[in-house]
Amino acid sequence: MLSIVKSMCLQGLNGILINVEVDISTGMPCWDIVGLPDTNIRESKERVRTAIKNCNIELLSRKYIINLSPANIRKDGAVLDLAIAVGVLCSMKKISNSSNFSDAIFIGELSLNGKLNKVNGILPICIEAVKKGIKKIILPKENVKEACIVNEIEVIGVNNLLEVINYLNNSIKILPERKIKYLKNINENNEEIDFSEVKGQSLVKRALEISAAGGHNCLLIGPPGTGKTMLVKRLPTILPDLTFEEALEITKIHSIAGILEEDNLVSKRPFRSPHHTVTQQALIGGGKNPKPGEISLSHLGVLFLDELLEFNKKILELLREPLEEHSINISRVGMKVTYPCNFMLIASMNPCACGYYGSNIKQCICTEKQRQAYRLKLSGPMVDRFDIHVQVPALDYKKLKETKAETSEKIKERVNNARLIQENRYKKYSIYSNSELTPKLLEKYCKIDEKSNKLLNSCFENMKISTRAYSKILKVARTIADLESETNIKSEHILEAIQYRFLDRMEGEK
Amino acid sequence: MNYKIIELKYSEFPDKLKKIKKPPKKLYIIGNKKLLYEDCFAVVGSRKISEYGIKYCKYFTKELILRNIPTVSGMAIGTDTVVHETTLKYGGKTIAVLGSGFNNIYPKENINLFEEIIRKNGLIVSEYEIEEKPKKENFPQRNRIITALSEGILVIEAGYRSGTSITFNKAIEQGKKVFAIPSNLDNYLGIGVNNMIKKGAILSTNINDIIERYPQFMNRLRIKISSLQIKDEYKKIYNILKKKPCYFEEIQNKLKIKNLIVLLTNMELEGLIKRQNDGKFSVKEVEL
Repeated sequence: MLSIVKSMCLQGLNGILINVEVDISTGMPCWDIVGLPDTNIRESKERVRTAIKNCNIELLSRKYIINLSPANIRKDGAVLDLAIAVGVLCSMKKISNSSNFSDAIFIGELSLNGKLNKVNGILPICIEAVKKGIKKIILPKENVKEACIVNEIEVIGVNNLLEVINYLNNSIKILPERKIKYLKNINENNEEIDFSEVKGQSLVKRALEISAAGGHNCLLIGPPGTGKTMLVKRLPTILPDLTFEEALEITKIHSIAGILEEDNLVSKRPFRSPHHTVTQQALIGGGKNPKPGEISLSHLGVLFLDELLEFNKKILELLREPLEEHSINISRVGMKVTYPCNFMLIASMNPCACGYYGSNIKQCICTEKQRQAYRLKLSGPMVDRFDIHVQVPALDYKKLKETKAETSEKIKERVNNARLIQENRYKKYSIYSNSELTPKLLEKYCKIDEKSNKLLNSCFENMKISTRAYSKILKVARTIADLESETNIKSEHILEAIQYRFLDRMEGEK
Repeated sequence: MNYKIIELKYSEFPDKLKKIKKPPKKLYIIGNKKLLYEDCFAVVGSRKISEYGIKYCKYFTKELILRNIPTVSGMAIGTDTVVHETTLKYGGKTIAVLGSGFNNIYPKENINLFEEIIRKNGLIVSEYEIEEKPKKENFPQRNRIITALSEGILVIEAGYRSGTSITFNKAIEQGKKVFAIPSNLDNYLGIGVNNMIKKGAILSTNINDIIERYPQFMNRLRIKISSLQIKDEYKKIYNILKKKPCYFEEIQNKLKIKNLIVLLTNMELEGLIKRQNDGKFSVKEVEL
């Protein structure tokens, strides 16, 4: 007898509704799964068969044909185990009235003893299922919490296959899970680190504050041991609060990658710091069925590349398009996947090969030529991607007078405020922050008066700033103005922004 | 290329070059020939140069030029380039003595400087055929010409076993006075120069240390350049930077003024200060 059960596969963030068709007929006894299954789906027949056997249901020696339609799409993942098992049981008439669940999907991986195991990507599956008109989802108990984030779908959590059979036969009742009501404030604050722990470095702190407020990419240049990493590690404590929509977007990606903590909605902006030995696939995303890489995992958060120049140059150049497009297309035979990657790039590097150029503590032993060669390891287009370059000086801190540093909480308050101004201003456009301004919007929202314009021009003439820095300076000046809740960009904002274009102002060889 | 050859046997060959051990048989020159017969002064140092070296190299060169004393150096990277560039910037005349032929300028990136020196009435000198390649052994040799053409030499910075020590030896051999800028004991680029002071180079902390030993330089008037007008609000910052180049952080720590970064950019725009390559702010002109 033929039976059809629905399930869902993911291709990137897109869900594809799968009809699992099972037919049992007489003939040479065999199990066949057709419809472009990947290896782990082909293996699922062993799991399904043993799980059914271990539920004390006898499998007859028949010809079992399982078709996954649409047949032209490659399917991946163990999420179809439950749907196949239910289909087989329907065909065996162990489950009656299969028309009961025509608007439900089955998701879950089976153990040999019939237990249902947790799977990845539940949140995007639920969101996509709602879009496709599905009313009910039956999934492993451990995935329930994540599924409950989506309001419009009925979530049935089950522990094992036997429970599913009994539920579908109406011999037991399982109530749909209660939805979690998310309050407006989904942000938790349990950071153990704080900006006030870093002594001095007020210019760098200010630069990071501006970065956080406007989503600007920031490059820190300084000798070893000056606290570059320490400062950046504290950046998450001043990042603006997440909105619900943003949290949902992040959770979707983290769910697919299987790195969701406690199956809850992500409550903090991600902060990813891959080591410099990272591979192309791990950074950009990839694999046979492309998984999101570090750039997508840091979507709406921070990607921190410590010791930028230690990264493979080829790998760094790969970041160029994602930084502009805010999304990455990964093409594989038979599929094309798009993941969002609107991240803030923070990077750190030494000023020269020996590391001590400009240090007050140790003498640099490089020639100017060597220093230039070292800086050129970072290509011009990459330098252009950074809105802010700032020096982290090596200072003798015993000599500096102790000053009370600001706490993260105070800085965050200003950042949140500035972000709110930006959100309101860019409501009509699909952007979140000043760093994403297109040339057209730049003209509209970063207008400067005659006096400031003259000032800016004289800066270009006198201070050897390359003209490509123009839009960067305006964007950063816009954020500085937002931090001070000013409607218009004033000359002092521009004067400050200019100091954050450090690499554009390097003089030539001596 | 319009070069000239001056041969040892003719009278136009400068006397001061004739007197040395192993004088060059021929001199290839481009540019202002008159400089060969003037009283010049050499400023030399190693190819690696610290910010400290650059600062005082500029100061001493400028002071020489303001007294209309032509400078001599070797057009290598580092110190030599700073000397020639500073000289030209203040409208002075300079002699560059090369260690290779005119068709093989070394280092290549100084080819612009080479042309600028000729254009601005300076002089390029070499004892090598124009096609001569920059050979390793030629460079110590040309140092004897640098010292021979000069009344004395000033060493800015020299590391341990630097090529500058050869110049030092040649100068002593030729009976020329050697002046040296003292260096921080920690500065590895200053080991050589401090050793020279130990061996008898004249420690110089001020242009007068040099001038007063040369009667021919003593009566030369220093050309006045207009002194800077500094606004009151900048004075405090300027005085800090005058002592030594500072990072933003250090100035902020001393002054604790709001909007310091805006003031600094304004001062930069007005040409009072500049931002060095290492990120420190420094005053543009050094006065001692």
